[in-house]
Amino acid sequence: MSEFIFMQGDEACGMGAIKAGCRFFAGYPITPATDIAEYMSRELPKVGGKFMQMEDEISSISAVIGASLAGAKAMTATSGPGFSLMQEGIGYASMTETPCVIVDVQRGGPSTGLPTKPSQGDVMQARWGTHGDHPVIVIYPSTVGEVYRYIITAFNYAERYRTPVIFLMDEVLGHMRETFVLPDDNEIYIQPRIETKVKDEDIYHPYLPNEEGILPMERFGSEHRFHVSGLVHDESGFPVPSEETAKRLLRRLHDKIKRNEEDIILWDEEKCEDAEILLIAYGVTARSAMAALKEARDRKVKIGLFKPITLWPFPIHRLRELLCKVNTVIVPELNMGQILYDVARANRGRSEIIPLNKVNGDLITPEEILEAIYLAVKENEEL
Amino acid sequence: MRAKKARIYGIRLGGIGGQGNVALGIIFANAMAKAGRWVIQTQSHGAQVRGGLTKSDIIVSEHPIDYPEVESIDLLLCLHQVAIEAFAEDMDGNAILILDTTYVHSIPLVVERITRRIIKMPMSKLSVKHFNNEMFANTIALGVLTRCCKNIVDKEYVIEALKEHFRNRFEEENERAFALGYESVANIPFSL
Repeated sequence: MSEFIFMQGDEACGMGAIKAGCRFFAGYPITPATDIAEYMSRELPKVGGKFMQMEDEISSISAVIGASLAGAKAMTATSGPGFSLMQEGIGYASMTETPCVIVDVQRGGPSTGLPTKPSQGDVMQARWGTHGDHPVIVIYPSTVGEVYRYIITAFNYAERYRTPVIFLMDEVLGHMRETFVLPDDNEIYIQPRIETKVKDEDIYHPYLPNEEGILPMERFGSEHRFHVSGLVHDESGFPVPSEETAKRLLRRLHDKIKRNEEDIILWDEEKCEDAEILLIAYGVTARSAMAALKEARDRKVKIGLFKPITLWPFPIHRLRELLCKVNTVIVPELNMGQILYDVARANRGRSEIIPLNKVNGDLITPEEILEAIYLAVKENEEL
Repeated sequence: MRAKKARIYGIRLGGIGGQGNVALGIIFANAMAKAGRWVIQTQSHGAQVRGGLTKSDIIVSEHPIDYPEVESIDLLLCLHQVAIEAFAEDMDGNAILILDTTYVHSIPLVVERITRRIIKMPMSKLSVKHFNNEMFANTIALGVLTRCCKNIVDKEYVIEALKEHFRNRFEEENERAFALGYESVANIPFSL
C-alpha cells in the first residue's frame, strides 16, 4: 500500500536516489544542498554504497565520473558556487558519455549570493554552463513528492542515454518538509545499468551503439580494456582528430537526446483547454502560479498553467500548440528572465509575453501573479 | 458551521535560536502528517546559531498545498520578546496567541486590535520548576499547541511524533511536560 510520509526535500532527493540504485555519492557541503550529503553519508553505507566527502566540487564531479565508469550509479549535489566549479567535469561526462546525476539546489547568486534564499538563477547555466556544443537533460521538480519521483527519472535517463542529467531544485524545496504519497514499488521503473554482452575474448567498443542506439557499458578495470577521453574519439574511445569522426560523434551526442525527446520531455498542464491566458512556470514558482490559477478560475478568468518538468530539452512543440490558442502569456521566474527566451522562441511573436521577475530572495506570491493576470484580462478586454 | 471550502491554516512558532522552536515545528508538523493532513513545514533563522530571531512555519490543510508559505497566521507561538515584536502584526484577526511569559514581558499594543485569544504561560519557568532545566519549555508549549489544534490533530499523534524525534530519550520528562502544557489549557473555550 502507498505510504503517506512527511519528509524534507533534500532527504527525499537522497532517498529517491538510493531507490533509483545510486550507490556512490561524492560531494562537498554547501547550503542548501548539505542535507543531501548528510542523508547519503548516513544511508548509503547501509545499502553497501560509498559516500566520499571531497576537498571541493571539481574533485566531487570527477569522483562521480570515475565511480560511474567503474560500474556504480553515481551522483553529487551542490549549489550555485559549486555548480560553477563542476562545469568542466559535466562537459567531460557529456563527451565521455558517462551516466551521472548532478543536483543543484539553487540559492541566490551570482557568486556566494544569498545562501539561504531561493533563486532560479541557474536555469541557463544548467543548459549552457559547460563549454562546447553539448546536449543536456535538465529536470526540475516543484514538490517534495516530485523530488522523490523525478530523481529516479533522472537516474533512468542518465543510464539509458549515457549522459549527465542535471536536477535543479529550489532552496525552498530543499529545506522544507512536506507530506507526500510514497509511490509503491510497482509504480516505479528503475533502469538498470546497461552492460555489454561482448564476450571476454572479443573486442569491446565503448562508443559503438547497438541496434537500439544504446551504448552498453563495461565496468572500467574489468575484463575489457577501453579508453576514455575528452578528446574527439571514435568507437574505441581513442582520440581521432579527423573531421569525419568529429562530425559523427557530435551528431550522435545530439541525436541520442533528440531522437528520444518523446520519452525525455515531461510537463504538466492545468486547465489549458479553454485558456485565453497561459501561465508558464516551473519549480516552486509553479506552485504560486497554481494557487493564482485557482483563485482566478474562481473569478471566471480563462487561465491555464503549463509547467515544464523537463526544462531541457525544452518542451517547445507542446508549448507551441498551446501558444496558438492564447492571447497572453505570463512567465513568472525567480530570475531576470531566463526560460523567457525559449518561450519567445516557441511563441514566434504570436501572443503577448509578460515576464514577472523577482530577485530579492523571496518567492513570487500568488497575489503578485494574480495582479499580472487581472492586468492582462483588462488589457485583453480593451482590445 | 464553517464553510465547506478547504481551509488552510497557518501556524508560526517564533523565538530565538536555541529555544527549540524549529524542532518543535518539525515534531508538530510530523504529528499532523501522521493524522493524515497535508502539511508543509519551513523555517528561517539569522546567520547565528544561537540568539537570533528564528521562526518555524507550519501550513496544514485537508488537501495538497500549492503555495508553500504562510499567508495568514491563525496561531502564533512566541517564546521570546523579539518574536512577538516581529510577528504580532502579521496575525490574522482572532488568531490564537500563545506566549512564554518568562521571556515575553510586554505585548505590543497592536495585538489589542487583532485578538483576545491569548494564552500566557511562563513555560520556561515552569520547566525549571518541574525539571530543573529550561529544556522542556518547548515540550510544554507543544502540549498547549496541541490543545489549541485539537480539531486538526489528536494528542496521541503528537506524543508519537515527540517520542520519534527524541528516539525515546527523556521519554518520561517529555510526557510529563507535554501533559503539563496540555492540561493547563484543557478548558480554554477556543481552538483552531
